[in-house]
Amino acid sequence: MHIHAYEKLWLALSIVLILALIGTVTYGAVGPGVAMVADSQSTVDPGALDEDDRFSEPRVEQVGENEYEAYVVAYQFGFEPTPIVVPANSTVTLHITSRDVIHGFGVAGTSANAMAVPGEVSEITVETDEPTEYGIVCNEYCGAGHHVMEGKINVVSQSEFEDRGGDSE
Amino acid sequence: MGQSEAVNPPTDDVGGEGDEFDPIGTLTLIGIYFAILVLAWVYIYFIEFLGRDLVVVG
Repeated sequence: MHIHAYEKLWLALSIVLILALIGTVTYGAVGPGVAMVADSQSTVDPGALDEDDRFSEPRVEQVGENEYEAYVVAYQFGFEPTPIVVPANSTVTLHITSRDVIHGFGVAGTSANAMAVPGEVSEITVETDEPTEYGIVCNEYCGAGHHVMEGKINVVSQSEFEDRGGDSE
Repeated sequence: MGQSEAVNPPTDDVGGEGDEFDPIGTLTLIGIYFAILVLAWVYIYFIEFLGRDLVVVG
């Protein structure tokens, strides 16, 4: 069978393109360490979050040097705590759940995005840089007040975090 | 007879060199599409996705 030279060329380029797409995603996972939300977290009773160790008191707590855990509850129509105050230049693991219906947890203008599902805990780890302020939006339709459902993440300097967070430890 | 002769010669030509069919315009167009696709992917993945704050790492 005769295959035209041009056809061979674009067959080869197609294969190169497929390999490049797979390669970049592999690079993202291996190099910068991009990860997905896993199902490794134990489930919670969405009707009894106030009795749960993790979510009875939505908060940010320090778990290691420069490592923080935030426990976030989404509800109709907002997020607790608000704002979520975390220190700059640190690693923050967010544990997100919902106490009523499915919500979204999208940090506007960033790559951080998860779902808040009643009974399930979404865990995402991010690294903060400079002090700044991010908006959180719900990106799953959750009811009549969906369009006003928002939250905030305030990234503050280490010293300001210690000033504010003295009571949480 | 006449029919089979009319059909056979082109088959021989295609089996030969194939240089007469030279769709350079199509090649150029696909080349441009390919370049747009590669540039768009590089922009979306490396600049828009990995370049923004709060990349999920765990």
